[in-house]
Amino acid sequence: MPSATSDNELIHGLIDIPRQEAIVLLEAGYFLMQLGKNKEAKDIFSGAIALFPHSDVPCIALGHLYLREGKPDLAVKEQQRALQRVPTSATAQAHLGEALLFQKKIPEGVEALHKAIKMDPHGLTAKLAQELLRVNDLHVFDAD
Amino acid sequence: MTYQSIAPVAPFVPGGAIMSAMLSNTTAALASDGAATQPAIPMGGAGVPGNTGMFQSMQQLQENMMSQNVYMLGLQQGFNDMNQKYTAISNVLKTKHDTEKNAISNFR
Repeated sequence: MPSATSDNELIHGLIDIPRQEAIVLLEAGYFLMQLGKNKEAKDIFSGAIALFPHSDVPCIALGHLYLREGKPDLAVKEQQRALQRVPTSATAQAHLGEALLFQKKIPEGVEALHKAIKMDPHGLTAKLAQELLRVNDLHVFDAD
Repeated sequence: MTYQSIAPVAPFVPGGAIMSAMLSNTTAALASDGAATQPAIPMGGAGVPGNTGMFQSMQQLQENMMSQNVYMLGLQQGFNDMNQKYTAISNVLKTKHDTEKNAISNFR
């Protein structure tokens, strides 16, 4: 249960927005994506990218959407943008590795995933990177 | 050719013991129905005299079984590989979901 202070916290972006509203906005984008309403989700994520120019999260979300649409080139660009915004973002690094694997750039993807593990060795991101490496070991990405 | 003529060679043929037992039961069943005077099961095919035809049939049967076994083993291996891949991909999807949920809830 978030405290009253965190509920009232403002995200300082293009305009100031209560943190909870920003979270709901991003969750709505993911929800629409799950429903297959990719255009609407893209509009939300693109808006959030403009609204929060300091944050990596909307870029990661848009990259996820592009990957889902089978556009790994655009996904890589979004994850790179996320890393430009927050160079220490292990989540963006792991997602970049995933997008590179989908681009069939296997060595680069593996390298990016190892880097993500180093950035956050005990977090969820490391787990994601390790799972992706396991899938890569099964030659899922290099299959035709 | 009947089971009685096959029985002596059954132990020398791979898988012959099983075939021998099977044919034995069949012959016994036919005998109990009063059909014992007729040849139980024709072996070796038409026009093949002696035991040669029976050997050939057994050999062919065994080869068929072997090739089917190899095919089934390959199929099983394929299913195992597929299962492994599906499990790994499922784990990735779950972890990815958790990671993104975590990223959103920590949004600052």
